[in-house]
Amino acid sequence: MQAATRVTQRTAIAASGNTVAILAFGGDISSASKDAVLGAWHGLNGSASHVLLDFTGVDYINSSGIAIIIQMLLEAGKAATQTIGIFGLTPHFQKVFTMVGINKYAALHKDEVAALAAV
Amino acid sequence: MGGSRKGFQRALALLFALAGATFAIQAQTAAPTLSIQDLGRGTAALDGPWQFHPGDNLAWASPDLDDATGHNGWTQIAADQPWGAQGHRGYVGYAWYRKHLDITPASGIASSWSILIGRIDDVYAIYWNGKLVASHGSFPPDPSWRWSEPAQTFPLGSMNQGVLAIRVYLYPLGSYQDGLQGGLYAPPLLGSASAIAREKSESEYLWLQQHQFAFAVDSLQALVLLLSFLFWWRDRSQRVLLWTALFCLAQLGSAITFGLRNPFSFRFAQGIDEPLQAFQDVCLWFLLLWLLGLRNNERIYRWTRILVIVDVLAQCLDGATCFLDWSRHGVTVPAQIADVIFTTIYTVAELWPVVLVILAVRNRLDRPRWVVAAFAFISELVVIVPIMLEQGSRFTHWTIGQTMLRPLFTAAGIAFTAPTLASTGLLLAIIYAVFSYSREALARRQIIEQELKSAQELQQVLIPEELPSLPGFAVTSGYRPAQEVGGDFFQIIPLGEPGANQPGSALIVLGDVSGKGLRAAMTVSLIVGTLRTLAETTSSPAEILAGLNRRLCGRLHGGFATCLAVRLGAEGACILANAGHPSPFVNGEEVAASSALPLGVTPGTSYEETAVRLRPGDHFVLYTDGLLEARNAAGELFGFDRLRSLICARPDAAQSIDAAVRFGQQDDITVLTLTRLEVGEEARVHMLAPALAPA
Repeated sequence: MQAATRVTQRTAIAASGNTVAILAFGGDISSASKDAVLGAWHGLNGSASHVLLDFTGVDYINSSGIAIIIQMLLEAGKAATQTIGIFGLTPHFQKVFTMVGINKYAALHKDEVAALAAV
Repeated sequence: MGGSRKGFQRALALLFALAGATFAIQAQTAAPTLSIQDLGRGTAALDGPWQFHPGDNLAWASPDLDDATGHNGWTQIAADQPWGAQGHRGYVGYAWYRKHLDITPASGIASSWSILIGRIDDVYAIYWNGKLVASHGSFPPDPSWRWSEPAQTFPLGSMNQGVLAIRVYLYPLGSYQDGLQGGLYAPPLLGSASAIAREKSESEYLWLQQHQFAFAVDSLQALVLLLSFLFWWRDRSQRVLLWTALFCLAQLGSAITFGLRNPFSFRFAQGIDEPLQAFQDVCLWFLLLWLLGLRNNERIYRWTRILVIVDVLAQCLDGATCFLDWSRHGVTVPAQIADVIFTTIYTVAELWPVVLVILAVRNRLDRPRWVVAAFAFISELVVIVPIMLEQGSRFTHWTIGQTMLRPLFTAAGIAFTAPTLASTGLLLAIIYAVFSYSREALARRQIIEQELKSAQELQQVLIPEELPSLPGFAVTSGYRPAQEVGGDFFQIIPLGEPGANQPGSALIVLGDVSGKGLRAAMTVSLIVGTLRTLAETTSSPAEILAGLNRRLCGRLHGGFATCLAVRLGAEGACILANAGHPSPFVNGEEVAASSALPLGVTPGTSYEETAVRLRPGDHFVLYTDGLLEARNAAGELFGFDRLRSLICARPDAAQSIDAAVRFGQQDDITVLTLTRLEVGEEARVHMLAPALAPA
């Protein structure tokens, strides 16, 4: 029943004028998504100082998927020069992300406009 | 002198005339008569030379026809081999055979005879003294004859002297035929009805004897087909068994079409055999992909699918041409050209197993797979190469293809050819490899099942079989894993005996390890063991979570565990701490408990405690996210709103779980409900028997 995870990468210019790398996820995020999610993250190669994670196209995230996202955020946290923001979450997953404390590692925004404005 | 010269000239002219007449007599030898004396209970072979004429004229049935050799195109021919092998190579269409007979029956034997006709290509009719007495198949237009023919017997009636004439029609040749066909392959036998019946029985017995090896192989294939299919039906993940069953089915289909006496016409049999051969190719190729360990090679898999399409299309189109009437004017040449093109295409495609074997042997193969690889290689070369060499052989006159198909040896009346031996060897190799493959798969499965069983037993220990009675509370609990082994856990640990400093209080810990299966179960065992140890030294939910976090960090391989720890007092005083777990509900409202990161993410995480007081009648619900994240077929989540509505109805644990399962369970679900009782009510505990396997 679970759908494959899709990841695309694009860049955008924030309100502050900074270039922002955006990783856009789609489908389901579960234990099977580890290579797709972390692979995309590692693909950034630490080159972007501002990264936004776009969950607009995500239908479902289970606990293993959340573990992968936390792992990604912990890696980002080690590189003190990177800032991470998240947008596009449904109210349900906004609540779940807050519940598991992800908001302590990355700011949660309603949409891309709000996220770019905050960078 | 002049008179003598004239006399010499006359003598010379007379000599030439005599010589010419002699030549004429020699060039028009009268048709011989086969004299059969004292024909009694035995049979007589109508051998020796027959008068033969290509073409067709019904008048050639007449006994009065002058069929002297050399006259009006009549020649002589033997009846023990086809006309294609006697100077008429590649000739197709009509031809007539005639035999003059003089039969004298033995004394006391009635002169009523029958005839036994062996193989004749393709359609024929028999005339006795100009009268049609028997026929077999139908002549053009739309000629028809059976593919697999037993010898035919026909009553001829009373006959002693006259001419037996056989009108024969040979259908246009296919691309594989060398032109050496046509007409009689053995002299007909003449005799009494009983003698001819006896000869027919003997020829039938001989046919059965020659085919007993083929029947044994067919029976083996039928058995393998049945067993493979049944075992695949039991375990659908064993696709190799399905391909084995289909391979045997395709082989049997061909065997039934061509190896048995059946009522199919030649053209129909050839027409359906081509798709059957394609089916056989497809099954063999996919079977080899499985057995030779190539199915995960995307490039090879893609090429196999491409060649499957090519092979199936070419064979089906080639088969379709067989349903056309090639005897019709204007059809023969286009049909033969199409036959050549399609046959060339699929014959080349049929060499694909040779490529697969070459690619496979570069990998490390075990013995059963080596055997399959070897027999697949040999079989394809021995079967396909002669077919390739036969193509167009009536023009090339190459005989090597036929030579490769000749019997290597004969045993018990059975002729064994190289293709027969190679195909049988391939079948046995496949059976051996599939058996070996299935045995390995079964052994692996048994190991996994044993591990799962052990994990289930372990989990049974970790999930309380009985709940302790909590004074002042009615407790229900339920647990339903999503896989054989789940990652949810809960524990209720009484903290003190009545009279102690915390009489009637208990520590309730409920959580969820990310992931499922054996690894999650092992993490659960670590958590429960640690929890029990920690509970001996502290009853603070925050300290317990901090202690668990310290011990789990670095041990979860990128995973985590959400956890809710609650210290429950008998008077309804409740202290809780949360490590990334969904907040509990009290009377349908979420408790605003501060949350922190799940366990095992970062060391040094601290957890805050939140105090809640439960009054009599209050309904306290703790749950794992499997309840929240149940998902229906449309992809909708159960979600917080549905959960709130559900919990407002004050369900017990079983009712809550049933609601989520009906909606679409995705993850393990654990629910614990505690209802504060009025003073004086007796504590109740109801535990839904833990379902240690998914619903």
